[in-house]
Amino acid sequence: MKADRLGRFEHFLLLVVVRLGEDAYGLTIRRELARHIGREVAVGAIYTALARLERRGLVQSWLGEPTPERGGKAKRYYRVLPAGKKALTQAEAALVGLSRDVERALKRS
Amino acid sequence: MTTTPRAPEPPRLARWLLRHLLDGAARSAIVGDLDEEFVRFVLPERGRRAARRWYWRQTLGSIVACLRGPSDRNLAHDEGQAPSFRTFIHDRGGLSSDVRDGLRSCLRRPGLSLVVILTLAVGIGANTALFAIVNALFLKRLPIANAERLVAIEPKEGGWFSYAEYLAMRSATGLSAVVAGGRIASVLQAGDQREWVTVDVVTANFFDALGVRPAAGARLFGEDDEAVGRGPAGVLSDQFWRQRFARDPSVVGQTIRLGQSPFTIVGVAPAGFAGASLAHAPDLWIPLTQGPLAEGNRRMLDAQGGWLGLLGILETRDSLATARGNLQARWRQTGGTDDILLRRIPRGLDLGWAPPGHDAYLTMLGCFVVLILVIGCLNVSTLLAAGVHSRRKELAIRAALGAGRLRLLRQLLVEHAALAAAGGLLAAPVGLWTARVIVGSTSTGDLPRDLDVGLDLNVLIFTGAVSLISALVFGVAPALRWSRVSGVSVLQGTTGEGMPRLFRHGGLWWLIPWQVALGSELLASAGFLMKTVQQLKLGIESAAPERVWFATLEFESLPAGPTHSGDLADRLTARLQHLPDIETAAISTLRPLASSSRTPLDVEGIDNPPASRPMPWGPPPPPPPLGAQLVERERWIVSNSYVSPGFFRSLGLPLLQGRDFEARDDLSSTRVAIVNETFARRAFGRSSPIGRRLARDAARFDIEIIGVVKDLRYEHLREAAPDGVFFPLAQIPSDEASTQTVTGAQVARDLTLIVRVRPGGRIGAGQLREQVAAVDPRVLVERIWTFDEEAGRALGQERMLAWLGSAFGVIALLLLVVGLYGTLTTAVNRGRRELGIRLALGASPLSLRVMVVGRSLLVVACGLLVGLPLSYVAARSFAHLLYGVRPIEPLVAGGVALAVLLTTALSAYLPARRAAHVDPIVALRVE
Repeated sequence: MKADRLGRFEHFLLLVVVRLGEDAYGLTIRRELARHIGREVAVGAIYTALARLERRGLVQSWLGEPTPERGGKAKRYYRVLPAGKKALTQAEAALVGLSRDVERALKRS
Repeated sequence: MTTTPRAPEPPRLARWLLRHLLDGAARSAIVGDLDEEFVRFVLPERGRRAARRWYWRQTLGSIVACLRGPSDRNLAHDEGQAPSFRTFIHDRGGLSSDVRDGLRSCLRRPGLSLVVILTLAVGIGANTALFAIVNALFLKRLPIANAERLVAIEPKEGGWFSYAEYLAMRSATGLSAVVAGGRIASVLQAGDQREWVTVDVVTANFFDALGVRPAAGARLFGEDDEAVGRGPAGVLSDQFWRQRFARDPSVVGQTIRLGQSPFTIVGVAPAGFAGASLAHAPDLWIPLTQGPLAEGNRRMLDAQGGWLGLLGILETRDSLATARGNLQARWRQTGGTDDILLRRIPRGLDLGWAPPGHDAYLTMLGCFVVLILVIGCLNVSTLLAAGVHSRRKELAIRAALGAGRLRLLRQLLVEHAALAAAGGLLAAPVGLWTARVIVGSTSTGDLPRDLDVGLDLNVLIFTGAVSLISALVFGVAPALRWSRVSGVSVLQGTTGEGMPRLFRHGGLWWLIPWQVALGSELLASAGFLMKTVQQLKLGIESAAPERVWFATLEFESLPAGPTHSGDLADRLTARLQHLPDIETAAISTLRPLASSSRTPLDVEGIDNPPASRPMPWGPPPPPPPLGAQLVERERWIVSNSYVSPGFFRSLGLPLLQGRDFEARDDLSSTRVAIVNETFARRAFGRSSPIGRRLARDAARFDIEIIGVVKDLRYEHLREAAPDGVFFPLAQIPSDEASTQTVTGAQVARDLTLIVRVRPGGRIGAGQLREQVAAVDPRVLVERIWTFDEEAGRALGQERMLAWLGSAFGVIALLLLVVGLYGTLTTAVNRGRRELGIRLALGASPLSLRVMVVGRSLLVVACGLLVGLPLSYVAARSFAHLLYGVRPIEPLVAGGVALAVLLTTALSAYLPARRAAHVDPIVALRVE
């Protein structure tokens, strides 16, 4: 199931989008992501990754209302689709399984 | 009118880039997000400057991220921009979409793009460097306000004006101002240190007329400072301010001493302003009327002879004729007989200083930089053409979907222009840095060291133009190939051209020999120049030049002539010999490789000197001094120097016969001389010159030859030793112990202290100054340097060319590796089928390796066959820059050929190995 496998950056992005819920658009996603991984990310990189996820059917996007402080540009909101949630669950499971093994190995040594 | 303070906006250029380089849908969301975050969060949190930086980082990061990702047009349909299929292929956004696609394709192959950009940066940078120098010399506007109305006022036959003549001409009609200036030397004392400085004495209206504003200090001097009795004012040049005062602004207002008089520094002239001489800035300027104080020569302003240069500012650009007529009339009244010439000063510097050979130097540099650019372009062409293969599918699909050939061409050209622009951007700083290195490394007098090679509009335009031209040059061939890709055949999976042959379709094979030819020419030239430097250095090798130190001894006031010089030499050398590191020391009027003088003399018993030998490489011998042709009998013209005992030992010159000078050879004893080997051989043949007599004054043979010394090329490295005669310093005639300056002042002739240190020893300037001051406090030691350094300076041009030639040659070799490797790899990949068949039919892997390497060597050898004869032609045309080099140097030619062939074999080896490892079954199954 190669199509559902997530890269690290994609994994983080999906988590952030889930976390933000109703308010997930470029700016909030970028700030939240930057806060958690501790470095600035170019907003363009986020859109590129989200577009990839959208093509794979993991997220969905729609346009919101334009606001004056955005120079009349509309916000593009994102939400995670069921396929995306499934991919997230799988990735989480893989991580948890892996770290459990590591914990055991660490205890033994 | 009231203005409301504008809210800080994101950087405009960044937004423009975002708008034009991002795809439609993502663009709108990205710009919106960035603007909102900028205003709501970043600006309040970080402040204006940091916020703008943040915006720029986001912009560039986003552009790179979006262009590297797949071009995403899924988003577009939401915004009602659903493009028709036709516009999607054809004219999606026109040029900016071409730019986008071009950048996208560059970013997808970062390795190739980087190699291309670096290659271009080197080529364009080298050209920019040379142009920056040419620009500073010939094209730049003078840093003065009225440059277009500035004229030089000169007598037609050349020469200068006296102060009285200036006074008569200064209020001529048609000119809004006339300024005069002359150059003198004076001793400056600031704090404890005293040194000789060059001073331009200029009329008080000088700075105002030229519209020069001070770089430091409130003002430069003006009309008030002319009045005698007012505290004399001085203005520092920028360079002197930097060197001597480390740009200390508090120097303004300080008092210094020039000669015996105090001067107040009132300001510093701006950088790049060199004043009346237009080429070399003086150390400082003082008002003309205060000149006598600085030089200690009261009659300076009354001098009858001319010594002032005049510049005029025309009232309007057209008042030249009026001004000339009026000046002419005024000059005639003061007794001038010649015609007055008004010469508009062209942009840039007066080229009066350009020494012979300078043109050849710049021309050769020019050839080098053009060569490296052409090699770079050829290489980029080869690489891009080799890349055709990997992009065939993309291009074929576009073509199949209806993109016309022109459209493809345009897109590829845009891609090339983007690469060239990136190369150009990198080239500008590289070029300026190189230009400064070149200016700094040329010998004194070749290029003004304070030449202001900066970035200006001229340089920017030039760099842009060169980038564009190179984009066209390297881009056309690959682009034509590209646009000819046959859509159907590529999509069918066949090449459509029958079976590919290894060296026909792998790329632009015919470009590689040219690249090799030009590269080997560069390498050979570098070889010639290196041999030149080495050969020239042989001329002074015997002196062990790294152990010989020179110091200039300059006299603040006129000492008493021969006894003083002899006495100074005795006491100073005696003192110095006590220092542990010093072997011997001496004083002379000769400064090897820098200054020497000639004198006529007679040899007893020999009527006419033999005809002088032709000098194939050097400049023609100097003409005989004035009046020599009046003497019926020809006299010997010899290089004459006055030296103290120990001079020959200090330079490592053994005496071949006779004895050295001693302390007893002074004015009270017989006048004596030592001659060099060349003179001895030419004058006396095999018989001994010891005891023979010479005459300085006609037919008074009162000088006895006491020794013969070995030859040394102390005058010029390129010339064999001249007929040389040395006299003891203690016997120097009074009229040769001093020289007269332009203003008529008598100053002591400079002497050079020559110190030979023991192997491994050193001396410092401070140490020498101390010793000299202890012997005579009126003598100034400005700087010390070694014979080796002097030779290095004298060989500056040759070394610079050799260095640049070899650097460029190595770059050319590296480019050859890259180009060959890229082309061969592609060729092997494409020719897998052919290789597979050969293997299946029984060819051994070894024979395939030999085939690939062998054919590469063949192609490269063709290049060598063109390149080496080319280097012969080059050596012939630049013969006067070379020395001791034959146009055909087996060592150089062999070395170049070996280097090029080895490089070829190395870069062909890996592709050859891959060719030998092709699996016939796999290769044949592919189709």
